[in-house]
Amino acid sequence: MMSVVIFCQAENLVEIFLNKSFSDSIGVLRVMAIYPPFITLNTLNGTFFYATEQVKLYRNISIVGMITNIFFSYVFIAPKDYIVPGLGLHAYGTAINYIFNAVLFTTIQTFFISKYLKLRFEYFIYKQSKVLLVLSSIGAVIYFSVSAIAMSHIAHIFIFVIMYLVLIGISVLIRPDLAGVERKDLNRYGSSLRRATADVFRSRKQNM
Amino acid sequence: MKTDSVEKRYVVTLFVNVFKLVLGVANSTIVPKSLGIVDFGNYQFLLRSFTSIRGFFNLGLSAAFLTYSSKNIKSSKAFVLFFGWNIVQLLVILIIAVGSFILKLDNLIFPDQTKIYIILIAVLEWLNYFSLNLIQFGETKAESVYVQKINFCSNIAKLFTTVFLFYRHILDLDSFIMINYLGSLLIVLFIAIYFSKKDRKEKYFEEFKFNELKETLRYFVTYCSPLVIYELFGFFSNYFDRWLLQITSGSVQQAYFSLSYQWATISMIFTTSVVNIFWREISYSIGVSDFVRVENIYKKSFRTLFFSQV
Repeated sequence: MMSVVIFCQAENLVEIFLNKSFSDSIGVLRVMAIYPPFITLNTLNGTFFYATEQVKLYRNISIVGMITNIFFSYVFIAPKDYIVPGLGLHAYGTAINYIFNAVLFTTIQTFFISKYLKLRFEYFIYKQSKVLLVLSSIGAVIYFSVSAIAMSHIAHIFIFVIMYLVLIGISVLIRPDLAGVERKDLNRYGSSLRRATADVFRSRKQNM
Repeated sequence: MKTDSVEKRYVVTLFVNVFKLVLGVANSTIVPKSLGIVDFGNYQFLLRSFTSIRGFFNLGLSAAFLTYSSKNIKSSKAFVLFFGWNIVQLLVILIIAVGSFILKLDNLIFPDQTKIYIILIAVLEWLNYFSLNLIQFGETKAESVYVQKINFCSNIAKLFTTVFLFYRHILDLDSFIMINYLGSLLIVLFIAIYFSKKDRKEKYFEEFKFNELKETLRYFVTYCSPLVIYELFGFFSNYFDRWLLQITSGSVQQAYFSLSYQWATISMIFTTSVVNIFWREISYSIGVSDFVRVENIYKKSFRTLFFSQV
């Protein structure tokens, strides 16, 4: 749940943990906040290719990815006044390049894995889109609600995180498939938690 | 001498990873604040550059060594070959660094960097990698509890020293580099002592015979040869964007990106623990031809991990 928190609270995080000389990094931080979910899937997919011994396919996709990375690095970072001009986006350009490549190559990897498993590729795109839409909407609603109230930076982050976790929790209780779990898994976790809590109170009562 | 259970190893690794998260937060907050934006940017650029350079000369040998060491309880030959190659990597990196000074290419390869820091951070990056290899060697022998305890103690020592120097307002680039040197040297020293003890030496290292190296070398070459092109492209890809950012935009923009990258990827520390279990379960299911289970594990992991990171 770091992406939404970092995206919405970038300004407050920089104010609290760093100083004014880093204030120009807020925008770059917001862009990079999108990176973790896709690079995590990239890692998962890479592991899948190794575990299923499709090492050559993984190597070939990765090599194409690296060539694309070099090309788009130049496009996003190179200054506008170079002989072959780029967009001159500095740190923003590097961040955008990372996101672009992570999204593109995670999607390509997922396409090949869905073919291997004989699953519909659209299934994974739909699930990703749904999670992004729901969680970012929740984050946006909380952000704009909390921003309207004047408070310190720490209070802002604290209230945001608490409200975000509560609303995420409620969303998962209503629609467990959002988090990739089934209702019976939630019921099982809930039962284990209730049993463990009951055991704790029972043993305290016996000791008293 | 018995080895630790899978559960115990997982819990210890997870605990160390949680602590690494705390260290990651400290490194992403008090360190940039203390070093200042320029020194922080320079440090990150040099560290990433030497990670790319050293990574290229790795040639996939780490994966080959870990696989071999996991499969064979006694692995002297692989140990000698792999750690011998680690020493060669250090020499190559130093030759590249010093060679760039002599050929006056240092301002092209390492723009706006001071020579002493180029050497110091080159050796530091190698030392971090060497200590990580020793930890992973311990993991391949199912001695995770001990090696992760050492890893944990090293990280605690680094964290407390960093925080102490920060509160005394004396944390700067020099002291930060020294803290990291000490942390890695601690790991190397204690793991070396642990595996030098007679009972472990007998358990994990057979008598070394130079003329038997050929077979192990052949294993490494067969394992690594498909990965050489991959490593070459990987080096250029990893080095190029940071180098281009440094040469066109300077240390300040480098610092903005490095900081954002560190903060954004803090939570990915937990991914490693999950991914290793995922690898094992998929491999096992493929082994017993249970493709329904493979499908379910992949779908569930894909959705759960994506959700947890958003």
